[in-house]
Amino acid sequence: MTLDWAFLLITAVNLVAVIGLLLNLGGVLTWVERKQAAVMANRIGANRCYIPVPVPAKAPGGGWKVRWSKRFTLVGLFHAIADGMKMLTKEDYTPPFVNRFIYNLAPFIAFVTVFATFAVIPFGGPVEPARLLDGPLLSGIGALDGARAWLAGFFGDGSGAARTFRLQLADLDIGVLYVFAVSGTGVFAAALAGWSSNNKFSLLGGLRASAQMISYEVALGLSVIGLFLIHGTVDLGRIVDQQQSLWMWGIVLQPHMFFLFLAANIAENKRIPFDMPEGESELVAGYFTEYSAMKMGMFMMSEFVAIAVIAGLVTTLFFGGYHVPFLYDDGFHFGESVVPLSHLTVVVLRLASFTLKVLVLCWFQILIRWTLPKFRYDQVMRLGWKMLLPISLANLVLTAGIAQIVNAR
Amino acid sequence: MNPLLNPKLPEPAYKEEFTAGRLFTYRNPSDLTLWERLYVPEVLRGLSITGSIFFKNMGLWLVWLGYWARGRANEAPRGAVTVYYPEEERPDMTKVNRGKHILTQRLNGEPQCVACYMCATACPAWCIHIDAGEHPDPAIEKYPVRFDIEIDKCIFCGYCEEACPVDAIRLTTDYHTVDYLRERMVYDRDYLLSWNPTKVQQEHVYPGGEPRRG
Ligand code: SF4
Ligand code: SF4
Repeated sequence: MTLDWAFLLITAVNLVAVIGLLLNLGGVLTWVERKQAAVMANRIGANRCYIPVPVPAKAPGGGWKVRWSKRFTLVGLFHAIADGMKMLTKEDYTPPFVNRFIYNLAPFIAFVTVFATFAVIPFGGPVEPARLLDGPLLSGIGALDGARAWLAGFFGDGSGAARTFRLQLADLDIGVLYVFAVSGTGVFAAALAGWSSNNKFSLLGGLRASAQMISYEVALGLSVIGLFLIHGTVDLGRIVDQQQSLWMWGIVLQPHMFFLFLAANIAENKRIPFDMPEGESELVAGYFTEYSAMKMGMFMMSEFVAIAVIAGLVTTLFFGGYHVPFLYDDGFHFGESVVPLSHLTVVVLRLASFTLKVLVLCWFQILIRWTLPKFRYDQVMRLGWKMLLPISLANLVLTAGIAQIVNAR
Repeated sequence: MNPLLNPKLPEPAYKEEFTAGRLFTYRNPSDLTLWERLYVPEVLRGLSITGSIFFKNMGLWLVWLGYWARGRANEAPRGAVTVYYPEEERPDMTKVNRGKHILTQRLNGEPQCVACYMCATACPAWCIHIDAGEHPDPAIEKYPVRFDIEIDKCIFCGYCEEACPVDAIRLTTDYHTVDYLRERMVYDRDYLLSWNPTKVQQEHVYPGGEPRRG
């Protein structure tokens, strides 16, 4: 069997895109979180970090010299870089009483599970590399003929037909089940960190994380089963395909489940108002009390990356994924009238649409985090078991009934 | 809340139980309506409040950009209610704020202080350190050879000012005590005698009249 180089190349591009998107988004979100909190509270927010810019100035004895007097702050974006540098260069102190192996393993579990979750999320529409350079503007340029021929040859299937690739790292049939499995594994990070730290606060934090995860994982899964019944699949790629029309978007079909799904996801991410495991006011820093430097930074980073992953997941299930309303593979369709667009334009528009939706949902999650007060522990459990679970169960039964009636006709 | 004081609760049953000493509840009876207990609508209301503040401030930021492009950034309406210290200062600082100390002077420029240690004794932070020397004038007897105030320990209580029998030490309104070096936060006699409060602080109202300064 020969290696499928075209597939390998596309996968490599996808990999770089996903990792790049998540890492950068995670870094930027640390800044967004602070700045947005400030703007929401009539403050100015982080903007002290700067890069000095040389300015030529007149020296007292004639001639010129360079003064480093201008400050380039870029609305405080350098704070993310400064934070990263601080975390990387701080002393990485391991307390003597911890279980070293598990203590060191936990932050990596947190990091890896968050990134792995994103693998099944389609972040762009189908791409046909052979047609990428075809549009009305580009096809006139003769210099691109060579590149076009190479694309057609490399990405063809040998018999002359063009192949189509998905902008999705892993096109799994089990789609959402994989997401739930991997993100559920993420609780091991908190539980193991809490246990191995050998500290009462950490242990309490880890226990709370486990309890919370178990409570909300149930509601998390059940709240979207209604959507699976409607779409008839759990494959995220197929689900997005079916959301071509605005009326098939999850937010239109099951608007109430959007709130449940988002609430359960925020609870899984252990952020305010569900930050029991961290519990700054009760548990110092919860399960990562004993961590310092970049290991603590990895817990923080995975939390911020998880915001982006949740946004991607909610976009995929409820906001039509990469779809732009009325945009089909060959251009915009408004009723009978068609605005044709080149393949490249459609691909770029869909990538932009997905990124925009993710950004808006990240903004919304941070808005929630800075608006709602924290729950009490019993309230968290009551909300999980007595509200979210029954509501999602009722929704499941109702949706199943309606789907049965609709299908029977 | 005391259940007896809550008009929404059926009074007689509670009253009987309560006066009989059988009912001691430490939990507030919930006075939320059903609508509020549904939670989601109220959450959305809260989000709309914070969100509208967010968008108002972002709009103001756009306005600021417009002013900034024309080089008049200072005149733009501002959304932030915070003060950007040290570039800005609060305009409404009280005129009788207690801040950095000064030592007052005699007509000939010597310190008014007679090194009686009253202020050092009164100081709850123990941050005044005085060494006394003999003054040539027998009517004055003593003067401070050393007079150090550790401003980083001072709690600005003003007791030193009140303890002084000869009005030699005063607190000004100047609160700019920050520094990069801890050594520089010990103010010696000559500095206390000679430093001048910054411009804003010169409008200070001294209850006993203006201090005499060289
Ligand atoms: S203001 Fe209070 S703490 Fe400060 S030097 Fe005077 S007595 Fe001491
Ligand atoms: S400042 Fe006043 S209270 Fe303090 S030693 Fe001098 S005279 Fe006495």
